[in-house]
Amino acid sequence: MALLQIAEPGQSADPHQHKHAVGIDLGTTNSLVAVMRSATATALPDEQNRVSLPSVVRYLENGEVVVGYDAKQQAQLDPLNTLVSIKRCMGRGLKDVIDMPYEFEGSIDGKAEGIVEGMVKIKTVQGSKSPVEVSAQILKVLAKRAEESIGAKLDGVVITVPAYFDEAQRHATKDAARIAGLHVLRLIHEPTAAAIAYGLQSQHTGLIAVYDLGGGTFDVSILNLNDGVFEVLATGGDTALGGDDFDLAIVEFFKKKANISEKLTPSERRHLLTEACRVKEALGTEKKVLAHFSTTQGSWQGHIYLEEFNELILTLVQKTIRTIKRVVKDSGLQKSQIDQIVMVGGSTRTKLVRQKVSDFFEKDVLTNIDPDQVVALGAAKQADLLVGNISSDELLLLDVCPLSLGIETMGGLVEKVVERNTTIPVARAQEFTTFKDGQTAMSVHIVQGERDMVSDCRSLAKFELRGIPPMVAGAAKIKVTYQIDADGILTVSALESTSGVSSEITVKPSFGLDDDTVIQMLQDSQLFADADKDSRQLAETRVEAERVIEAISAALKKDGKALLNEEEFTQLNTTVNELKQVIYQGDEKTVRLKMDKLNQDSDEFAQRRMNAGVKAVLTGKSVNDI
Amino acid sequence: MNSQDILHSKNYFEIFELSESFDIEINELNARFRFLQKAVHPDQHAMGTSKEQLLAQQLSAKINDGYQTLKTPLLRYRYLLTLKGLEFKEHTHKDTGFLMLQMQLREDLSEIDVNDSKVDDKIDAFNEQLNNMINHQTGSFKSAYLTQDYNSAYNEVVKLTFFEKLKQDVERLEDQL
Repeated sequence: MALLQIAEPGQSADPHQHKHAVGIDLGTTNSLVAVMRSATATALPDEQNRVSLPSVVRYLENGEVVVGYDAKQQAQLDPLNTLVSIKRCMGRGLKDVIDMPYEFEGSIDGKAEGIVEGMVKIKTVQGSKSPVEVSAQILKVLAKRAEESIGAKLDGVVITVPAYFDEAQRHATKDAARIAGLHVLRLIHEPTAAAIAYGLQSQHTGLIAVYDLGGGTFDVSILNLNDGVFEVLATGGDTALGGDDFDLAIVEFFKKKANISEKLTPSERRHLLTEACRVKEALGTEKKVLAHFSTTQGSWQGHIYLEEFNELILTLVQKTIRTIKRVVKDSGLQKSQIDQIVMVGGSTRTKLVRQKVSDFFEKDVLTNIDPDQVVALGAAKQADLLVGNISSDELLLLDVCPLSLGIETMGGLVEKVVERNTTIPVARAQEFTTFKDGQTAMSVHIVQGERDMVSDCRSLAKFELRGIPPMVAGAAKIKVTYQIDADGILTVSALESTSGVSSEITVKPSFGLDDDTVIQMLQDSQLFADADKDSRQLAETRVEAERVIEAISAALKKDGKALLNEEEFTQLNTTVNELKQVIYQGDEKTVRLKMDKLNQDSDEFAQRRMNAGVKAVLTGKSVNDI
Repeated sequence: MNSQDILHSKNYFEIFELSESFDIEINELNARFRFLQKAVHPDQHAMGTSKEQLLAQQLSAKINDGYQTLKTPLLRYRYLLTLKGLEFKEHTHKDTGFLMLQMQLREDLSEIDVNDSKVDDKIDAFNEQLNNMINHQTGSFKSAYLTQDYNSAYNEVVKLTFFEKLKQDVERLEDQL
C-alpha cells in the first residue's frame, strides 16, 4: 500500500538519494517486473521463484480478486469470470473484440446488440469491469512484488506497450497505471526496450531489427543505434496476431480430427486451447507430441508432428514476414544492411518462426537473452535512467508515432497531419477554413491510418469548434494542431485566429475513459478499500505534492543560486517549506492549494532553467556544463 | 524571452549549425540532432515539474520538426524559399506544358497492370524516367536558387512536389505486388 505510507514532515527525500524505479512488461499472456541491481537488470520472481505472472485475472463472487497462476488454473472452471488476454481489449470497442469468449456489456451470444460506444466492459460476478481496471489488477500485483523485494515504495515505473499500440490503447495503459497507484515515467515500445537490453549489454552500434512475436501482439521495428542514441527508424505490426493464433490454429486442427462442428462451451474451448498451447510449446524442442482431449461433441488422441504444426501456422508466420518487408522499406534501408536481428517474445521459441526470419534476412537471429524477459529488462534499465540514477548522457530514446494521424476533409477524405514514423514528440498544425457564409461551427474528426478514405481509417475522436464569428466563406482561419507527447499520446486543439476570438478544445480518444471514470475506478480500487473518499484523495494529493517538492528542491539545489536572485531564491524556498508544513497536517484542499501555489511560483524558474539549457546547447556546450 | 523564443529567433540552419544551402552534410545534421535532443528531450525531465515537462516537450518537438525539415530534400528546398519570404499555398499550375506532362505521366502509371507478367520491368522503366525528371527538376531549382531568382525557384519546387507525389503513388503500386 505504497500510497498510504506515512513519512514524517520535513523528511522529504534528498534529491540525490537513490530512487526506486522498475520496468514492467504488461503482456497479453504474461507480465513481468524487473529492476536494476548492481548495474544489471534482473526480473523479480514471486515466492515460488517464478518470474512471469500470467496476465490472468479472476473475479470471485465473494469479492476476492485472484491474479496470475492461480487464476490461470481456474480458467477452465470459471471462464466468464477469468479474464485472459485482456490486453486485446485495451482501448477497444465492442466490434473489435466481439470474438473473445466473454460476456460484454451490450452483447448477447457474441453479437453486438444495438450500438455500444466507448471501450468495452466485461460482465463478471463483481459487476462490469473495464479492461483498464483488469490491467490495473495485474500492475498492482507486480508493483507489490517489486516493493516487497526492494523494501521501499516505487518512485516510478516504465511500462512497455507494443509499438503498434494506438492512441486509445496507450491512454488505457496509462490509466491502468494510475488506478494501480503508479507514477508512469514513460511508456516505451516493447521492441525498443528489447534493444536497450541488448544494446547496452553488448555496446552495439548499428542497425537492428527487432522481431517481437508475443502471445497476442506482433511488432517489428528497425532501430538505429548510434552514439548512445536509440532511434526507431520504422515500425509496424499487428495488434491482433501472436502465439494465441498458433493455439487457435491447433484448436481448429483438433476440431477437424474430432469432427466437432458445433460451437464449444467456453470451458471446453478453454480446455482445447490449453492442450493446444502445451502441444505448441513442446514442439519447440520435440519432433512430435502426443495430444489428447475430450468434449461432449467428440474426443481425439494422436500425435502431432512438427511438419504438421508448421503447415498450420505457415500463413501466420508469412504474414509477419510481409510486415518485416514493409517496415524495412519504410526505414529506407535494404534488408542486407540490417546488422542484428533481435528475437523477442515467447512465440519466437517456435522453430518455424526463427527459421523464416533468419531466411528472410539471410542472417542468424539473436536469442541469447531470454525472449520472455528481455522487454522487462530493457524497461528496468530505462526506468533507472529516467529517475536519474544513472547519467542520461548514456542513453536517449527517440521514438516514432506508428500510424499516420489525419483529419476528415470534404467528401470523406483524409488529410494527413502527422505522417507515420514521425519522430515524437511532435506538434503539427494545419489550417482550414469555413465553406459557407456565416458558418459558426466546424466539426473536427480525428482519424488514424494510412488510407485515403475516412471509412477505411480508424476514428479516434470527433469534436466541434463552436463560436466562430460569422464571416464570409473562406475568411475564417482555423488552425488545428496535433500534439503527440513522448508517450505517444495525442492532444488536438482547434483555434480560430483571424477575429482574435479563440476557441480551443482538447480531446481524448473515443475508446478512452474520461477523467471522472478513472477517478471513480481509482476510488473503487482495492488499494483504497478501507479508506474513505476524502482520505483517498488526500493520499493521492500527498504523493503528488511530494513529487513536486522533490522536483523543485532538486532544481533549486542545482540551479537556484545561478538563475534566481536572492529574493526569488528565498521566496521559492519559503513556498516549498509552506507546502512541506501542510503536507502531513493539512486537509486535501490545503495541500492542493499550497501545491498549486508552488507549481505556479516555480513556473518562471522552470522557464529560466530551460532557457539556460537551450542557450547552452545552441552555443555548443553540454547541459551538464551550465 | 522564453525558450521557444530563443529557438524561434534562429532558423533551422542556425539551430543545426549548417550553412543555409540546398545541400547539407547529413552526418553533421544527424550528430547535431542527437546533441540537441539529448539536451531538451522530455526524458531528461521525467522527474521535473509539469511545467518543465511541458517546455521540454515543446522544445523537443521543435527540434524534431527542424530535423525533418532539413533532412528531407523537398522540405529543405521549400524551407529555403520560406526563409526568402515566399509562402507555399495550394494553387493551380498555369504552365500548360507541365500540366500535359502531369496528365501523361498519370496515364502511363494507371496503365501499369499489377497482374501483368512484365510488371516489374514496366515499373522499373517508369521509375527510371521519373528519377531522371526529378534530377533534372532538382537541377533547375538549384540554378534558379543560385541566381537568386526565387520566384522561378518556387515554381520549380512546386513541380518537384508533383513528381514526389507521383513517386509515392509508384511505391503504393509496388506494395500491391
